[in-house]
Amino acid sequence: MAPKPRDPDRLEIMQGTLDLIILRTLRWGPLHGHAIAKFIEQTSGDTFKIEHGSLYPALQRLLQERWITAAWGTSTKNRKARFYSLTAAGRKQLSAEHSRWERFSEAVARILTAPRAEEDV
Amino acid sequence: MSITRSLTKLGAIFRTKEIDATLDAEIRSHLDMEMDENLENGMDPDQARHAANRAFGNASLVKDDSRSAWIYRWFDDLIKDLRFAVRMLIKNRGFSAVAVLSLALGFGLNTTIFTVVNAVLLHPLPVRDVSRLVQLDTIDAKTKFTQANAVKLGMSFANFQDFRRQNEVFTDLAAWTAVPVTWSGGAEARQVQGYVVTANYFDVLGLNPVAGRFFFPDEDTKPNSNTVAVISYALWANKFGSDPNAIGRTMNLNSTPYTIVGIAPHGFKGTISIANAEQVWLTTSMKDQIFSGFAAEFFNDRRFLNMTIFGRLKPGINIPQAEASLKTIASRLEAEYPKDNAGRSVALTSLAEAAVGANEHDQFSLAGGMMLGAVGLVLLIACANLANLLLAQAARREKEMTVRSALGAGRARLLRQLLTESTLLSLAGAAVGLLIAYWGRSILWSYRPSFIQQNDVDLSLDSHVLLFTLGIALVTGALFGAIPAIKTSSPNLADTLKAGGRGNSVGWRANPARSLLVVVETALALVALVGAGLFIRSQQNAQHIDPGFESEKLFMMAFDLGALHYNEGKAQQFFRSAVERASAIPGVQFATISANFPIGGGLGRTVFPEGQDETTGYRGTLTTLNSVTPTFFDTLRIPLVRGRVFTDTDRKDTQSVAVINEAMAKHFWPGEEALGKRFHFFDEPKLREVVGIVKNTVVQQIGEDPQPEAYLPMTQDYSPFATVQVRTTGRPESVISAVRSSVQSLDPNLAITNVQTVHELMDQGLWAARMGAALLTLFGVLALVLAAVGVYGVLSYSVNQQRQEIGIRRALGAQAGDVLRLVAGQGLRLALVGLAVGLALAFAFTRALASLLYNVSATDPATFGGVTAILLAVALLACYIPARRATQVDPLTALRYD
Repeated sequence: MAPKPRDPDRLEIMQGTLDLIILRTLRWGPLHGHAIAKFIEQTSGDTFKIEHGSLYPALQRLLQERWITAAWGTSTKNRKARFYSLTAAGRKQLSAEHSRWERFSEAVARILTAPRAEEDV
Repeated sequence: MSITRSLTKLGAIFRTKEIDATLDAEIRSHLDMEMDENLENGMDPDQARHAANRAFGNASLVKDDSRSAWIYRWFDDLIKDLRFAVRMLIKNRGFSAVAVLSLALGFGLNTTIFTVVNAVLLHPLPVRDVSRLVQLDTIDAKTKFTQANAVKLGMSFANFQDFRRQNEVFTDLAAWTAVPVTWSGGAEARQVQGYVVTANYFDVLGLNPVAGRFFFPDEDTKPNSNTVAVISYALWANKFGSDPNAIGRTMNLNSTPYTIVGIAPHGFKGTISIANAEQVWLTTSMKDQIFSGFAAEFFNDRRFLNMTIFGRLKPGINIPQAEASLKTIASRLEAEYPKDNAGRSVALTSLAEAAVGANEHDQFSLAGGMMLGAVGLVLLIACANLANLLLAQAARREKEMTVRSALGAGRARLLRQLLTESTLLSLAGAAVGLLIAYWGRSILWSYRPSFIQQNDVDLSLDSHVLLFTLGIALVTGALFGAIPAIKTSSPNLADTLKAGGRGNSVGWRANPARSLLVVVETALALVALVGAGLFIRSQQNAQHIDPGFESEKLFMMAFDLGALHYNEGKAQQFFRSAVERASAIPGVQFATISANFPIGGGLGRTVFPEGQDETTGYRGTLTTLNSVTPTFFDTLRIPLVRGRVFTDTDRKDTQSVAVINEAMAKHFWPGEEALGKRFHFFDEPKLREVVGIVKNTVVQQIGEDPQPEAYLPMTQDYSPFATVQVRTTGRPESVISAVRSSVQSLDPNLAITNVQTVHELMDQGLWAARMGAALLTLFGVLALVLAAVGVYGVLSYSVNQQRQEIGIRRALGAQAGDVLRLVAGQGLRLALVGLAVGLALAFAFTRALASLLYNVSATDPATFGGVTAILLAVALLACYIPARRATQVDPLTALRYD
């Protein structure tokens, strides 16, 4: 596959972050893959570049961790689709990851905005 | 529930198809929805599809990534389990060492024995597609046979040629016969193993020469002038130094020069499993140069079954079809030659089986199976001990398991972890076991009898052996790991809390798993010991079987005057001189010459009493013959019952006479006086008069039923094959070399072979019995020790667990004797159940071994009783020691403990 030209205004999501985001999108109820993709694109204000396909390996991973389950159902447009929903373990994982993420991003933000430290001589 | 889920995950690696199908459907639905949206946004259908695909990215890459997510997870778990298992095993170093060593012992023994079974029974002949090769044998419903195992009999050359011509089911048939040939021209004449074969022999086998060529199709058609030889790779390597110029060199075989035209492939030593690796192949047209005596005289006789025949099945033909087709040819030949072929038909055996011996294959398999069974028992007991150790360990790890289970580990997950540990132990055991096998194989090989020489058997640790060891390691790992694992992986929180993990007594209700182990170990040990006991008794009996002659102070050597093309007159003179010279040597009491080795069988011919022949409806009996010089009976000390032995007055021109043994007298003239009776051979009018009756001797195999045998004077029935036998006054070893050189001095070109004492010869005959008894004893004792350790371990553990209960009993006034009875009684009851089960198993299994035993019933009461008594004593001891310890429990300490 030839490398694609990068769009400097859109960011790629790291794997762990994608997992967190998917779990978050499922918080209010079951969604199918397409809906998850649309939700991420819309809520991130198109900041995240997401290839729809890359969702699926992530979904398989989450299934194996038993944070989510899957079941076939029918979409609003009457198409057959596989719906993913959070399990109890997934809910726990989400809140743990969420607070981890907050501590992480706060720490990064503090570092980036910190005044220049005095250097030892 | 959790088990099914975990199995789904485990199975995922093998169910990628299903995962793919789901993903395909999902991706299709995703693209459809994206397209719907794009259409709503006003794109035309083509644009909409392209945009959807673009937004999705590379679908096949997505599928790959998704699939590998499953596989990755599986391996990830495996590696985590392995790492944890290694940590646990290192933590419990003592336990791991005991486990690995006892498993290694079990695997080592199994691998060693399998190496032999593999070499003898499973090694395919190094020929092309051996499964399509079949051996043809004559079966004879008319002639009587007294030897056990005489069912498949080889074939006459004349019948072979007819079968070959008329055959419709084989691409071709080839014939061979083995004959030792004398190789002279070097410093000392020596004997090598020769095969006389039809020219198509190598073609039917589908072999290619390492160097030179094999026989041309017509190289068995010009009598006396096809002087070409193919030699085996080992002969080329050992005697010609692998010299490429060996092709074209000349070998003097039985006084005829042959040109070496080809070298057979490495490892090929004819179509038999155990054979000398140094071989030479000549063609049938040279028979008059190669054979002498009866083998030359009868070569073309339609009744003389001296050839072995094999053929390659045509494509699409199976053995039963081929046999049916050949049987119709056989009945045609029976009709065409009623005199020679009456009652004779043909039987087929796959060449792979026949390679061990068409008649002996079953017994070899039985012996190999028995040995594997015995080491299998040792392994099972070792496994039972390990299962017990793991159970004890499991009790200690109950807390860990409860915690892990509370933290959300599924039962299947825990099971998998525990099985990983036991399998790891098992594989470590297998690695050490291979070392033991490597070593054990050398020991076994060093105890081989002298008649099995270098290169005869290939005892290599080949891929078969490695797969076997890996296989039993994996199976036993799962086997001994499963019971404790299943038990441990379902920790019962309530019980753990209530009893503090203690209070287990031994007994069916209290602890079925551990009780079962005691019963199984006792039963298995009993079976192993009964087997050993039977073979020890059998071997002792075999040692004491009277061969019918005095085997001490007797030695022998053999030579073949036919190889030097002596005529009969010259040979008879040679025999007389050899006997005279040998007798004159100080220390020699008697010397004699006979055609046969002691206990070596010999030429058999069909005998009819006077007045009967094949046309009178009488069934002749195949009888072993031995041509001897007059001093034979004195030299071997075979007692004369009635009549006389041969003298120098029995000559070619006097009445043909015979001395027969009692078995022959009883067989042909039951209830009558055989002395003075006359008999003749098939298709031979000459009548021979019985002038003496001697005691029976062992004819072919120690332990056989008495076999009829007729002795004929060497002067009347000349044999160019000669066995010198010498009775000495002192130790035979001191005069062997003097006798040897006095015989050699009569002709320097003579190859003298088999120089040995008759005692050595008989020892070789009993080698298998002795080795079998020794090995089975070793295995039996190992089984006993392991089982004793096992029973002891279970009881000690149970005493430890019951300290509190025993303490209370003591505090309430129980005496030491009561405690002793209580604890020992628990163990002994189980041991008794084990003994009963073991006796039943042994009764069932040993019957199958009856054919391998000498003069011992397979259900010999003495063996069964003795072994039961030994095991009972050992079980008592194994129960007594822990019980004794129980009586020393101090009630105060026991009650305070916790």
